[in-house]
Amino acid sequence: MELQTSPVLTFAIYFSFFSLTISLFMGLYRLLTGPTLPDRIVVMDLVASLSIGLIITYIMATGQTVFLNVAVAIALLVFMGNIAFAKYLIRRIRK
Amino acid sequence: MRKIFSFIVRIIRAVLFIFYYLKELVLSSLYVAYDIITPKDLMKPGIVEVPVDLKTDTAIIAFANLISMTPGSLTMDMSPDKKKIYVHAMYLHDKEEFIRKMKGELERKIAEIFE
Amino acid sequence: MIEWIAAFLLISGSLFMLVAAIGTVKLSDVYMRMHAITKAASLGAILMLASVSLIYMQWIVWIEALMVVVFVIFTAPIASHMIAKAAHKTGMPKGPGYIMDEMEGKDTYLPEE
Repeated sequence: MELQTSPVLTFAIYFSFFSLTISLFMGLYRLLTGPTLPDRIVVMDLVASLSIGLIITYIMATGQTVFLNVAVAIALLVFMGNIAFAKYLIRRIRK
Repeated sequence: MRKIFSFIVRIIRAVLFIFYYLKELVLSSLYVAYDIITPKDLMKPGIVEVPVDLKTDTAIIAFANLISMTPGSLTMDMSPDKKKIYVHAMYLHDKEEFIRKMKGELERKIAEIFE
Repeated sequence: MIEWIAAFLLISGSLFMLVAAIGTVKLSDVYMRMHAITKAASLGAILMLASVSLIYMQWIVWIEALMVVVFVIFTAPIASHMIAKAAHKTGMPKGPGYIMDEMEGKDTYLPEE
């Protein structure tokens, strides 16, 4: 991929893509091996932050600032998802 | 006149509070990062009961969020009469000192702004 | 000059996210992992948003970045309260080394159906 930015920023973008990808794989490991359900819910929070980071790095690489809208939507929706999972957990012990 | 003055003071305090919140966020992230990267194990986790004297719901939720943002502590739950908060602490070397820090530093700041 | 600052912010933000991910793998139980994620990952997102709003000097970018920062700052602690409380209520096992648990068996507030 040919980036239209200065060398410093290009290095920063490649580094950021690299470390975010490694972080995603670590989250995947915890998602697969997490012993309990709350462990996996916590990984959802991490993956949301990571995808906000990936979107921002993509914006830096291509200059398409429209994709910030996606970051706003993710930041909103993940909160709802967390609350819904917590309510589901609490409801499960009520029965 | 006095009312306007106290309103302005309150707004200035709220802005200062936001900066304090961000400072605590940066400090606690650095703390957690240092602790995760270094291999030695210093952790002494525990769950502590902290008494609360705040009256309004807004103040209590601001207090709970601020506790979550300070280094090494995370709010977990609240008693039904809104008098106690249960806090998960990562480094619980001295319980009394932990409670004193929560009460003396953070709750005083919240009470100045919201009450 | 601005590009150097933006590159520094981008790299440090992604490093904070990497630290949060390492924390999820390394730390011993749910509550400790929540410490890492709710602090380090949200700070990482804030730093990267600061970087993007330094590079693209448009007011729409600034407003949207500010929106994401406000959501992340005010909702990440609340979400972690909810999950920690639900995990403790359902009796998830705690890791080794706990020296006290004053919440065990206490009556706490439950939301209504």
